Amino acid sequence: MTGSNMNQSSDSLKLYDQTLSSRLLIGTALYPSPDIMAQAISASGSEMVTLSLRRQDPSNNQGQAIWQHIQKSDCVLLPNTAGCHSAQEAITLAEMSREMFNTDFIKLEVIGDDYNLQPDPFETVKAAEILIKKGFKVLPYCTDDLVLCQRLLAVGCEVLMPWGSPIGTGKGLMNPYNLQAIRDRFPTTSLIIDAGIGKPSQAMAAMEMGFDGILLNTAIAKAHNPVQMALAFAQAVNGGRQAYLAGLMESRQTASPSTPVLGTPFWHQA
Amino acid sequence: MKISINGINYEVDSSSSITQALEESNRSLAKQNNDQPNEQRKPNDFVIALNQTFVPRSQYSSTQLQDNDVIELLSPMAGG
Repeated sequence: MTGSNMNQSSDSLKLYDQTLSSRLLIGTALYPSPDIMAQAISASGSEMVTLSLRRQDPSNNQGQAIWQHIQKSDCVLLPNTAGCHSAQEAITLAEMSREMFNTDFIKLEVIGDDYNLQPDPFETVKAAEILIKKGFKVLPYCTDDLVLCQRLLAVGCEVLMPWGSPIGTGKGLMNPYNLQAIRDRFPTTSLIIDAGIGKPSQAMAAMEMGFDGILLNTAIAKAHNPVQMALAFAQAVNGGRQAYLAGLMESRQTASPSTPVLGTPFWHQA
Repeated sequence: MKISINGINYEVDSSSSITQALEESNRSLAKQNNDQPNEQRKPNDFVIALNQTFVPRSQYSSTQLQDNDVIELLSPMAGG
């Protein structure tokens, strides 16, 4: 899709039956305070935020404060299954999230390796298949493996979220070849780059490649000024999207003057 | 019988329901916090898994617990 005839105002992100005007999804963790988190969400323009379920700690009310701020934001909720290591754990947590947050959306995370937080492809597919049969709208966090993406689509996922690089590393798009292959092979699937984005320029690069959106957390939350960084990412994601829709020029090996050569007034012309 | 809620053991009457176990844990929590009611858990603030299986709120009062049952009681938290 070049989108050459697409009106900017009608360019929305479709995730199952949900339509969003912002293509930036952000996490709610790691901010200096719940108030700064709320300001960053607002500055980002994001309409969908991730959150989780954890044991209630009566001596620490920060979870409650964060939850109250998120509710006030009117964002669509995307609960995650972070920390799960098996399909069964993820399914249980997804069912608990559906009751707590009253949404069928679930960001499916099944971790296969604790060192680089790499998703377990086998358990992720198993969980996705069962959750979709249970009526969930599954957004699976996955690697950039083409065959894994095929399997997730085959069990009914309508959105895929391949990593740029491991969670929290900020290393950006670790394997652009794989990511471009996924984009090219699944042109009509909503594809979100999830994890590893550290700079606005990396988010912009993914959007220029034709990805449909970006999900990130640490790069905003851990910035010196999270609110300003949220705005920077919003602008980068939008800029990358507009560039993709406008159609990038083909790169080439040889130089080509942009100023007309005809009529050049200097003596070195023949 | 002994049950566990979020890793803390409680003694409850045999065949207690989830609702009764939560009441027991709330009493215990209130004692720890000098009977301040705002520290107690409210049903809409959490969800439950019993022995790693989700239990809907509508089934708390009808779900009978067994000795050594493990309840996980989870609440909203920040997430990425």
